[in-house]
Amino acid sequence: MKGLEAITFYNGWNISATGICIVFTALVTLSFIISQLHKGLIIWEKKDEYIKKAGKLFSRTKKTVPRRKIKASESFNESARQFHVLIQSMKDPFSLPKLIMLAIKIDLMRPHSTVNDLLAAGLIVPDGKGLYYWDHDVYTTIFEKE
Amino acid sequence: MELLMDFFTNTGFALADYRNFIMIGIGCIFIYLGIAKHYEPLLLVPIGFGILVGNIPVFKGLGLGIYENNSVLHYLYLGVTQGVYPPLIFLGIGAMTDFSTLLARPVLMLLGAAAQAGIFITFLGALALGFSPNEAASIGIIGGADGPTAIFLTAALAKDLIGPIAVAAYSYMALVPVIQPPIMRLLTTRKERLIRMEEPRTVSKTEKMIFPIVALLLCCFIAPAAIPLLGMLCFGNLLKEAVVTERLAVTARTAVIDTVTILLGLTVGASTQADVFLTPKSVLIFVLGAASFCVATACGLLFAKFLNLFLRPKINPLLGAAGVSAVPDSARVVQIVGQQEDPTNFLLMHAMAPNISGVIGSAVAAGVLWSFMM
Repeated sequence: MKGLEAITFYNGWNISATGICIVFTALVTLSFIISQLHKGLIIWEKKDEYIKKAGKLFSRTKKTVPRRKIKASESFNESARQFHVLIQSMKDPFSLPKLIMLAIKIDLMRPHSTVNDLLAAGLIVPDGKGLYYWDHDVYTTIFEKE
Repeated sequence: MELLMDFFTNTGFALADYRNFIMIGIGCIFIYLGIAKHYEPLLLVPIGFGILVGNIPVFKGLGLGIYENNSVLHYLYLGVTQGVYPPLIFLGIGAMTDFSTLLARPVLMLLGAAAQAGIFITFLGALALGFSPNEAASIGIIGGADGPTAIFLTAALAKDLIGPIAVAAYSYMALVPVIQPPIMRLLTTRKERLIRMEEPRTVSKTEKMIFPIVALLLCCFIAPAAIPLLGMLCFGNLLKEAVVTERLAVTARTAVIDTVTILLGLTVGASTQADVFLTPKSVLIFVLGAASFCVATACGLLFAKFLNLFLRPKINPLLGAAGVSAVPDSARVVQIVGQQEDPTNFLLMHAMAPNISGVIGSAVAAGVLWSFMM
């Protein structure tokens, strides 16, 4: 068998068309991926920078959560200072029960109520994973006003 | 006297016929082209010498011929028929190749894909001339201009044709500087040949290390039958780019590839015994192989011109001719033809991108054809 008849008989047209398509698909996909590869690598190399930026954005979002206004009394400020010192001795983020236990251990006044006030004032902020961190910006703002 | 006559009947002079002398002449031409004309000497000299070895007539049954089961040549030839040598050559090629230009300008990869159209067009031509689908696929792959790939696919699909197909593939690879320039001039204008390419961007080491892994996974997930060739090519390249494996890379690109090239060239040459090789089929294979090579070159050039309809800045369409995977000869030819128009235009570095993608493309095409024929 020869000629067009042979090509049709052996499914030649389909094999050729599909073959060319597969080769093109493979190389076009590969060229697309490698054209984006260096962009991906730039992002990977600057990942720490991006994580920081994202973290800042995240903490800003937290700050926008409406906070209960706490009357900045002398006793509240004193408690905030004491807890600030205490939290500095712990790793960030910290566990709230641990903080209260430490506060009880060193005989701080009304630890539960103070922690509640600090939470309400936005000085202690949840990290969304069950732990908390101290918001230095809010702390500085409060004590700058003073 | 009788003893002497017996001895004479067993000599090559008594056993030879005119076909042996034709093949010995061809072998000598190969050696001449390799040594005197510097056409792919690393391939043509071993093949040419192999043709001489294979065409010395020997007494059948002594275990001397390449097609006799217990001969040394037969054992060496197993590397060809079992598809062992081509992947090892790809390992060496991978360890030699720098993919920087390809990574810097990925769009040039499409030229390597376009040139593979020649393979499939020749496949149709071979079917039309009465070859079986397996034989037609093996003949078509000559258009990939990649000797190891052609041998690999032929060993899998049409073992009987290894000799003529391998010789045709390597001959046309060696004749790249003769075959391609007229087609390049015919299909491009002077203005197009004068186009200068932009400086490629700098490619990071990490990109170069990731590329072989991405290329392997992607291409072999699409065409798993390409694993033996692409797997070794990418592995060799990873050894080179990883730096910490430099010793292995050096071995792959020197000792391994050189040893395998010697064995492959010699045994492929020796497989062209006159009675097996000088047939009407072989003549047709040579004609189709030449056609395949020309069509592949033309497809690459025309696709480059097509891309220029959309690309800004335009690419020099001569680069399309480098889409056939004769590395680095077709890239060198692009450089030469480009410099004939403008001696200050350097295209070699840019031509390496489609040239290398042609290697990947022809390996994928071989994998695709193999899977279709199984």
